[in-house]
Amino acid sequence: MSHISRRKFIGTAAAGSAALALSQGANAAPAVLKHSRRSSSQEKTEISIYHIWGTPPGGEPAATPAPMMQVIDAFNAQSDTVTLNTFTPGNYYETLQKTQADLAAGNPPDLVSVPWAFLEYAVEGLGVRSLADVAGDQFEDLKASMSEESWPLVTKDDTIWGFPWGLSTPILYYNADLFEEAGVAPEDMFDTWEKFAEGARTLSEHMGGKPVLSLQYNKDWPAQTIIQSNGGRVMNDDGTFGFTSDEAKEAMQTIADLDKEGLYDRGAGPELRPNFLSGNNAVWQASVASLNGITNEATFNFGTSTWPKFGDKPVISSTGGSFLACFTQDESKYEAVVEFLKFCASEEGYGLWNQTGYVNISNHDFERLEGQEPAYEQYEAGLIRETNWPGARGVEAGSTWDVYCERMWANDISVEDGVNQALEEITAIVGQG
Amino acid sequence: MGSQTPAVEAPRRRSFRLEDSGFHLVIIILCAFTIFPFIWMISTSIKAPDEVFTNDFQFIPDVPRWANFPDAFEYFPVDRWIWNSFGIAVLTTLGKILMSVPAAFAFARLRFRGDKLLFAVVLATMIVPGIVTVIPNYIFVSERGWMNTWTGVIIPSLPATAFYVFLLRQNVLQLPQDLLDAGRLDGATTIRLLTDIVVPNIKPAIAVVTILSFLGAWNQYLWPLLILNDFESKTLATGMQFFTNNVESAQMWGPMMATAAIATLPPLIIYAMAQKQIISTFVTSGLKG
Amino acid sequence: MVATSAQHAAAQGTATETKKRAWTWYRITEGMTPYLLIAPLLILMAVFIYWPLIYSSYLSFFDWNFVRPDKIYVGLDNFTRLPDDPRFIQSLKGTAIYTFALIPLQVLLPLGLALLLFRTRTSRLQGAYRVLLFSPTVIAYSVAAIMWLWIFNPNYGVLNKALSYFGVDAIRWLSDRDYAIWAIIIVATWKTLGFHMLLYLAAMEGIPKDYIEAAQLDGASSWQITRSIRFPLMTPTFFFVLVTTVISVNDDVFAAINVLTNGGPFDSTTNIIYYLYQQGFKYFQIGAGSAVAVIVFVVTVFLTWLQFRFVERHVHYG
Repeated sequence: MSHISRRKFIGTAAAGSAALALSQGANAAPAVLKHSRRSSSQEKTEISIYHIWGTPPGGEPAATPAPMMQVIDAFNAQSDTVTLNTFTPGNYYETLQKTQADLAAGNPPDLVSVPWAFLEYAVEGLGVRSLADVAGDQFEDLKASMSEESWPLVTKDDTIWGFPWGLSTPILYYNADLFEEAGVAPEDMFDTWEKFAEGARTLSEHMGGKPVLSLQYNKDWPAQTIIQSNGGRVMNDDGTFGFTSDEAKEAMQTIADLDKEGLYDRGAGPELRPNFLSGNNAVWQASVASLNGITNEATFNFGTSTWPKFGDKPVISSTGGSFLACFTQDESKYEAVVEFLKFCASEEGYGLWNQTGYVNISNHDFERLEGQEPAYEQYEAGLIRETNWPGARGVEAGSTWDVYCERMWANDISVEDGVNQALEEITAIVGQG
Repeated sequence: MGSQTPAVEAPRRRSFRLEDSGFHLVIIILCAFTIFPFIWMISTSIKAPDEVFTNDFQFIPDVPRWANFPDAFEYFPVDRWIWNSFGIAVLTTLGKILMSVPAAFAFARLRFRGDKLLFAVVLATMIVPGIVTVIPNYIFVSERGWMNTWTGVIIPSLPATAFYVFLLRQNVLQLPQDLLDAGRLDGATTIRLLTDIVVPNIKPAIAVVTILSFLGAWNQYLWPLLILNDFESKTLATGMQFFTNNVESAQMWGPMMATAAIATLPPLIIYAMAQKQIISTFVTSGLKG
Repeated sequence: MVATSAQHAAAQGTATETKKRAWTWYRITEGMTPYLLIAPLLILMAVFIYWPLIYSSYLSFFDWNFVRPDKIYVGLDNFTRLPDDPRFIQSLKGTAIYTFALIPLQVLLPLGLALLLFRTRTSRLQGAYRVLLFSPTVIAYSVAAIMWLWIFNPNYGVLNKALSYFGVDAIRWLSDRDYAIWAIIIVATWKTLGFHMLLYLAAMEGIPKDYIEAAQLDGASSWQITRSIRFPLMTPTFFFVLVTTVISVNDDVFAAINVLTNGGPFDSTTNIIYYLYQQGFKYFQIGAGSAVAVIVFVVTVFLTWLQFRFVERHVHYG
């Protein structure tokens, strides 16, 4: 009878779909916690890594996987004992969110790419494992495999908390064709901020009044470099905030002045890169890690440069990028993690990674990519670590400063008011952390 | 369905055409406003970058780039996103129907202790904005290890069904009591009444709830955004957001619009087919009381 | 063998016993059935809607980052620090703008549109109109936002191109603090126009023809009919649209904000919902997020009550 079959149908459908949902659920979950000892089983240890460098970014689709994916694929191919599963949740914030979610669920990831700026947060709020704990007796070897300058960046309270990996600095990309057309010599323009403003006026006129300088990503990143280059600091070494100093204010005012003349691009983040690539913008600040992408995509001659100076003061840049941190407490995974880290530090592994444009912090000699020079200049002059906003609400503090930078530069608030209000708010946020 | 339709007025023929054309004009302008983004999206989806980043205005590109569509699948796991969207939408809809139809029947025609109170409890959930329950549900899902799974997305979304229960109940109320009484006299249990008498007679309403529920689940944003935190496991609706947040990919308007076009097709097709049905259900069940 | 009367009586007794038991069993299951029918729904509602309300209230008194196992009791701090947080104040401003702009746009504008469509419902184009006007509603909000993201693009977007024909300079729709929130409002209006219009249309079509015919016989003009019969009978629908819009308007724009501006520029497009999201899921301040959730709920209930108290009396139930 029809009614019996309908009930049966519904019943079977419900049961079938419940089974489907649950099985699908199991499939989508992150790496299974498998327990294996190298000596006793043929099974590979599975570990997981969360990072931001999945394919794509940019360029022709999947013709060449992103360098990080190449590293991971090469590692998996040559390892008999470990399989590394990769997850790309999105940008740094989304990666952080997934890390927290999985930590809270009792399913900590083995490796995560953590921005230098979040080191404090990783230690205080997330319980990252120290590298010595993870590496055991391999610790000294690992330490020797990467350059000395890179280790302080992952050190807090005399403990090393992660493996240095992607080191970038902010550099300026410029459209060499446009410069030539406008008759501006890059070496002149990028010499000092005064000359920059002059050159920018010429360029802008040539381009029909368009803004000339655009600053990518969170504005606090270039802000740090600009302030430091004028002798100021965003955060002093003793932990106090330095962005209300005169040097800092002067530095911020420089960009604000450019904006008053219409030379600074107030556009939103995602608009700036396409703007540059389509020839609408003459100077674009981004990370040296974007070099690979720009090289592939630019249809014009482009050049890279370091920052203009404030008079005679040297350019002091800041770091960007991330380190690899281990969060799992399962000791049986540590060997596998170390194996991967060693591969990263090897010539083969790091060689693949070096294609990105990140500064070479390994102990191997690799040819520098065309366009990387400015980054190395800054690196060799000495980089200051990205501001490590302290406390449990560090992320929010950083965000607050970022918004103020944006506002000051767009003349939405005066520099004087901006830095003072920022100080007030950030002190309140951090004080409670 | 015809026996339940109240006698609605038949449209009259109009004698004045002039003022009508004014109305039509306004409507057409609004239709243009409504439809333009779709057209522009399709237009962009077949353009090559040089025609995208140009100051000219053209609907149809000189050199259409159909490759944007397969490219979209290469850039992003769009096929997985489609599968995830589909699976989640189907299962959520199934769950909601299985819960709301019996409940609608119970609240409409069965007498039991607390029936009015419990119905109020059901309706009251409509006052709770989704965002308010997000944090505890997130914690719940996390503690059960459902993070990044379909289960984690589907189960907490199921209870958002009060509107459908209401709609279905209205429909059940319109069934003549005699029908049910006759069934009782034949010795049917309540369950039998439900499956043999009620369900067959409110099929159109069930169909509409199915469609609306499917669309809702297909387009769901905030909850999958939070729970599906890995690239491959996203749905179409949340995966698209990845395009915009990722600095490097903000260049690829062609493939992005192609993906968007793909994402709009299933809902539009479903709606086009079910349009009359949806309206007539709203008409007959009404939103009175 | 012929049954003895005793056996017969015994058999009879057993039969009655069985019948009684069957009847009792029937009554029990029948009595339970309604509850069984509504149980799944109610259980899920209890777990995922009602329990969270209680738990959120509980969490709002603590400082917790979701990962650390310990929750620190902070009393009312999560609430008292809100007025001092400039981002919270900004989000309140955003909420106010969204609400006051979108309520007319999402409640009244579709009504006008529905009237127009009703007037022209004899036309052959009616079906086409309905499909076209409803189409934004059926697609995902995030997809809609992406379509508009491209339209709003300051350099190549169609909107600025059109404006340039009128000699208007390019507007940075999504990065200018004065315009961004209106860009989102445009998208939100575009998205819901069709849906509410449809509800109103359905209400208008559902009016029994006896009323209309009677009025026509009395010589009423079509405008008079509209005013005194259609409008009053549509008030339940209008009320429904109003109440649900007030509840969900800020929730709905979440996807648009997330895709188009991420709250920016300078937090000018955030509303209280987005603030909750940021606190809870970007900064992992579970306590603060929960405090905001409690506030949102209380305000929503209050606004709904207000509407029932003051507006509902004007609703005519057919």
